[in-house]
Amino acid sequence: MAYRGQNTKYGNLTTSQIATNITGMQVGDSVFNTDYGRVDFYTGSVWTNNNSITITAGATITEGQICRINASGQAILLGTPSSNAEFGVGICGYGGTLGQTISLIVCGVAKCRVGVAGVTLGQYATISSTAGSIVSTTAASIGALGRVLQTQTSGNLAYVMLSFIERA
Amino acid sequence: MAYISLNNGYTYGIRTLANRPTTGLSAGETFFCTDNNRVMTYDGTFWVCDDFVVMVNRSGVTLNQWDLVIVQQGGTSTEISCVRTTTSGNPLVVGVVVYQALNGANCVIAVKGNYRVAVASATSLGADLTTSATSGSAQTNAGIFSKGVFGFATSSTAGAGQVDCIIMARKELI
Repeated sequence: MAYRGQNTKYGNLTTSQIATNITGMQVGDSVFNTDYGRVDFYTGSVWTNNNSITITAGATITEGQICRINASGQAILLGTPSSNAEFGVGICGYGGTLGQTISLIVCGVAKCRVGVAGVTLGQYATISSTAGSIVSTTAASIGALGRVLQTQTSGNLAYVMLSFIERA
Repeated sequence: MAYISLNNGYTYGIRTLANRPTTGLSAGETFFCTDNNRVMTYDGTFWVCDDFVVMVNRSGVTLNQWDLVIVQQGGTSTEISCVRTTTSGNPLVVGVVVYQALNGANCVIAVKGNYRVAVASATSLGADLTTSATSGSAQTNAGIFSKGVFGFATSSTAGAGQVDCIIMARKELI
């Protein structure tokens, strides 16, 4: 028996290719994202998927950066560990500039921007001293956002299994 | 061959949640919902997507769309059910009711994504939301970001009503 494959409009592409190579897309169009092995859909303003929410950007935000919600209901970069670390809500999947709609991955697996110290497979991912990026630790604390799935050096993207921590 | 992504490739094309088809439906049919940006699939009873769970309404009353609900503890061994709460900051919060549900009927609840929620009082943009003393309604979390927070407001209201919100899937407690 032959199974029927995903009939996405734009075939198989990486996140970067989807963001830069596709033009003329319409509401409801789809593409298979090979970074994550899932189908992304176009909302009319941004690509998103079942693990993401859409929100207006309160600043320029790029793929992999950790975001929080500001007092204007917009996404901004999550700051230092001592500043509202627990407010992290998601990782930018498809970014944009101030006022544009972006998508934030809020569950499942996300590629996160690695801070200056690098991250280690299996450790907890938490925010670093560089706004919007992560560092890894051996113990969970408020502000932890998941488990690192890939050892990676500073400035690159590392896969993280998201599990935002809530204060009990 | 029809692509699943072409506007007319979905069974019912591009729709809002309020404009969802209600008659002549068959399980497996689809439309792309522009309210939550999800492909909605008809499961034979409800239009569903990856954001939803189904629980039995044991609140004793009809649950209205965008009511906030918690999981009911101490139910039967064969069902998982939801109720409204009058406890502020209730850590049992699950999500918001998507379709009005009679008492005793299955209730579709959004547990993540972009939706709306009833609020008990004035709510500001970006407010972190939790349960309130008003049954079925949310309120702005008071003080420290704490247990029972389920999401953030992405629109505002000057009094009791409804706001747009993002619902977070975040339930690992420390």
